[in-house]
Amino acid sequence: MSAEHDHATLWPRWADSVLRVVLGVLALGVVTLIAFPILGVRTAYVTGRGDPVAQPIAFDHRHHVRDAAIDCRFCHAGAEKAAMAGVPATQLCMGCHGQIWPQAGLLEPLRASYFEDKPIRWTRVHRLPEHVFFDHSIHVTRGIDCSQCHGPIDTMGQVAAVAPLTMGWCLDCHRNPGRSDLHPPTYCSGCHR
Amino acid sequence: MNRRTFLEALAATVAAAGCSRAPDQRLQPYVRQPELMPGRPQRYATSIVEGGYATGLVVESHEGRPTKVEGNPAHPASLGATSAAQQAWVLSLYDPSRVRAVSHVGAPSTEREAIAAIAAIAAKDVRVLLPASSSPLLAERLTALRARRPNVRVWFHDGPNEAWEGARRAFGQVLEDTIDLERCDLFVDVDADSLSQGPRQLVYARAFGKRRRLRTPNDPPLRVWTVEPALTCTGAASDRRTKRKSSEIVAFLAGLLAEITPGKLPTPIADGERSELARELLAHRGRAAIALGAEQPPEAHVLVHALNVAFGAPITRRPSPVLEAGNHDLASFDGGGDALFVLGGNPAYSIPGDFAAKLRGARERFVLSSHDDETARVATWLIPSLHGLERWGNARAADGTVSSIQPLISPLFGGLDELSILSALLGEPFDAHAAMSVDDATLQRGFVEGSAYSPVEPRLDDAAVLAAAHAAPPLALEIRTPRDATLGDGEWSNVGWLQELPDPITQLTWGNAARLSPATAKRFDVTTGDEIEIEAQGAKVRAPVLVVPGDADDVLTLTRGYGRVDSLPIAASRGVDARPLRRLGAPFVSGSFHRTGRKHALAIAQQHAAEEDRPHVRSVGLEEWKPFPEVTPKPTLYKLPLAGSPLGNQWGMVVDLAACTGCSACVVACQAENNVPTVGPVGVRLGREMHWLRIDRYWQDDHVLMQPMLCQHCEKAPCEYVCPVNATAHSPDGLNEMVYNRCVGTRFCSANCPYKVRRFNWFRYEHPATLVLNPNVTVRERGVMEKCTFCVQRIREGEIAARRESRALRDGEIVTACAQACPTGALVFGSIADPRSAVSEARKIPRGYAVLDELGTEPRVRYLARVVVGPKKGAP
Repeated sequence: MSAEHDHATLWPRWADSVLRVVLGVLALGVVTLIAFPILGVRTAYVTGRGDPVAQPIAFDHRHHVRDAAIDCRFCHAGAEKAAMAGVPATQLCMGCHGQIWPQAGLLEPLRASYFEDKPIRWTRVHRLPEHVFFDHSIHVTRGIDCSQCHGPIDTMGQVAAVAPLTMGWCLDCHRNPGRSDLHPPTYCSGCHR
Repeated sequence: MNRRTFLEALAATVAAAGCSRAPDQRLQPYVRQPELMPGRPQRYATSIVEGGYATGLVVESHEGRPTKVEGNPAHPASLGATSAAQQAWVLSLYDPSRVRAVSHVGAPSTEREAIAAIAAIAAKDVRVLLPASSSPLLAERLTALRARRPNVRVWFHDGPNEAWEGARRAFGQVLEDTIDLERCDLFVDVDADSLSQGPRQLVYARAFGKRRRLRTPNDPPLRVWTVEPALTCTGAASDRRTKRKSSEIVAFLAGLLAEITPGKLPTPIADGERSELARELLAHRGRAAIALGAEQPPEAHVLVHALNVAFGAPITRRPSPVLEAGNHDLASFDGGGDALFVLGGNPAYSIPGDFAAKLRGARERFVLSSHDDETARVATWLIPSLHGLERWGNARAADGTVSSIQPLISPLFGGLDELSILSALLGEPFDAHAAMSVDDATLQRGFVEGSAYSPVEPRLDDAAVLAAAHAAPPLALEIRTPRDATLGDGEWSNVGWLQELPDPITQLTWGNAARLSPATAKRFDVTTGDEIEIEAQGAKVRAPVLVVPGDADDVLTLTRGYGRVDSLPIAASRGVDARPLRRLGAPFVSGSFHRTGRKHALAIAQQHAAEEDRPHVRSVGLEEWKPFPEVTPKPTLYKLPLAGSPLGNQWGMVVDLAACTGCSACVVACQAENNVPTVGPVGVRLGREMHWLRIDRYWQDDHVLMQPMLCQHCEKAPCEYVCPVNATAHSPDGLNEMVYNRCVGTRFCSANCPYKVRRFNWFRYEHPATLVLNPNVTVRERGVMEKCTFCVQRIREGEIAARRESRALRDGEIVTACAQACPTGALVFGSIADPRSAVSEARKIPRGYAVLDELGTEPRVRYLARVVVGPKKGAP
């Protein structure tokens, strides 16, 4: 008996097709396994962009920024001077709200924080990984408007992130700042230390 | 859980981790914001007090937690520099093993109860033991105590008693010498290690650096000659060393004096080296000075004063800043009484003999201590002491300058200080801040201007000199127990950074060992690692041997500070306690030793100490000073020059080996700045220490050559082209960057680095005190490579600060942590693109070379060769 005849009895004619399909599915699976997390971390779902974030006090930026025309830096005092823009201390809020709406039920958590000396636990909206050392001051003092990264805050009731804050998004601007007086770093140690 | 459910859970977790978003993070602003801006560090001037002497510091604080110590450039005892121990001060603040609450015979109590107990006992027979102090506040409290409580008697339990006694005999008053090294041409260090020990070490090191960083062979050089029993940092930096036993020093000095002032003293027996030294001293009349180790006997101090006076040494003599200096006599301390107060220090460990038994003589024993240490063991009342960074106070620097101590943080574990306890004895509250009565400008400066003591011009008592010139014969075998180079008298034992800091000479970490010279070791048939039993003072101590080529023969050196009690988790069971071999008031005793047959594995950071015919550390003499030949670099695939940096800086460093003493302040400064973990003795034995900057030492006969070694930031970096994931790259301003998040830990870069400066995280090393971490530097995970970054966080912060203010960076504005700490100015950092910068100027000095330049790596770190001043005989 020949070897060819033996082969034919072991493997039917459609076996090759099945093998091809199986290999194809496997290959696709591997690609998916690699591509899924790579693309996944960039989705709005994971970066959280576009999701308004509820806060312990229903603070409305529309009211403070658009209606009252308060400068961003009045509350976020570090934006121009420090790496962190900073979240205002309860005392700063109370500076106005001790006089304006001092009885408002909405501001009860604020008063509780002030009189019980307990900090307000805000929920972070813009998150950077911990190996990124972002500095607000250099961006603001070089003329990068707050809204370029934070979006139209004056139209947001609950603030939502508008930027994915991925490295690719940072580099889009760092590579092409569009102004000749800016020299943003595009090398590793510019942001990672 | 069986295997199947485990795998199911694992799969679900992995899937969930990949798909879900990270949990919400919370932001908690202040309720009432103090005078700070989150994200911007603050700096406060304060002082550290060591042995009673203050050194002015500037401490960096991030959101209220002190993280980094720097020298105060305006302070006369710091001049901007720090020692290794001062750098580690901030870690001791966060030590989790500090005493956390008052306890009364083991039962928890409160500060209020302790104060009440003190007030109740105040009228009885009370004894107070204090560590040496120069605090004007304490002086005021003691005056009040003596006036109003005659039943309270006070003793001080430490201080350089021999030096004070020597000054009293020579001059009739307790004075301390400050040598004006900048005006010296010859400096003789006798068993003192002046450049890395003592309250004037930073001042001396600064002056030494200034006079050793020669730009041309015609600069007036400072020649250093050491006479010492065991090699020290000062010995390593000297041009000429004379090995003498500690017990021979008095005879040596008497002979020297007889040669310098012939006729007054009996003619000494001949000693060639001593005669040469005498001739050199006479040749440098008015421009030479001798420094003597504080623990040498009073006779030696009298002789040194006579010598310094004889050849007109440029020395300023001032009263000692220490309270009751010269009267720190423990001989009259008898123990007993109704109550004893030990207000600082650890006399049960630091004083030889069974001092703990003496302390137990009192009925109530109040011990103010940071740790449950040897002295705390005798306490009936154990009261936690405030750390220096938690309290108000003041103290005088070595020259008398009143230096302020201000708190940077509220007490972490509560506690009291000695001032409040003495006030409790007086039955009154005490507010140290109010009592200091300093204005804000003084606090910000850190010291009271013009408060230094005026120099005194005393008259030498010739009779005392004649009386001192009678030397006892040297000991046949001398057992020395000096302070440890890194741990001192044990006050730094529980600080991991200093335990892991290699001894500058022996490179030994996490322990001590009996140092012997090679000839002595051969005579007793022992070698490094052999355990010996040392007999002296009727006691027996077992210790491993460490053979050190630079030590004098028939001298055994076992440093103090080791062999501590189990309640100090870092220090416990590290090394051996040398106390049984000691005698009060004597730095050396007679003794013997023999081999036990057991072996010890020593945690030595650098096992291989030969240069193997590759001139890593080069030296030049003043006569043969010419530029080193250029080496033709090997062919390379690298494209040079590098792309220019947009801000125009090219970072580089110059290490001047002529000024480096090996004091290791830079090593600890780097560790503090860059969140470098410690790995423990087993890790060190496996070669896994994490120091980004180490000090290599090479033996040349019995001389040691020091070389700070850090990432060389090669322009053609061998590490960069072997990384498979591009985790190490080059920045346009010349930094060899390390990207931790890309690193997968192949360790190929480390294998290809000719300088062996890359460090691998074999484990997730613990940072037991996370509050001390620098928030601007990533804490590295297990499995990633790390190395010196040229303090890139400081570079980027400096660049941002300059750009924020729309101005150019000034030279010297950005300093690496190592260069900032260096007491001698041996490390210069800056932009080599600026031809006028300090680093560019230093690169032009014709002593420069690159280590392993034949490899063509084009390092950004350049070294300047050591300079040997004077005849080369007996020196490298």
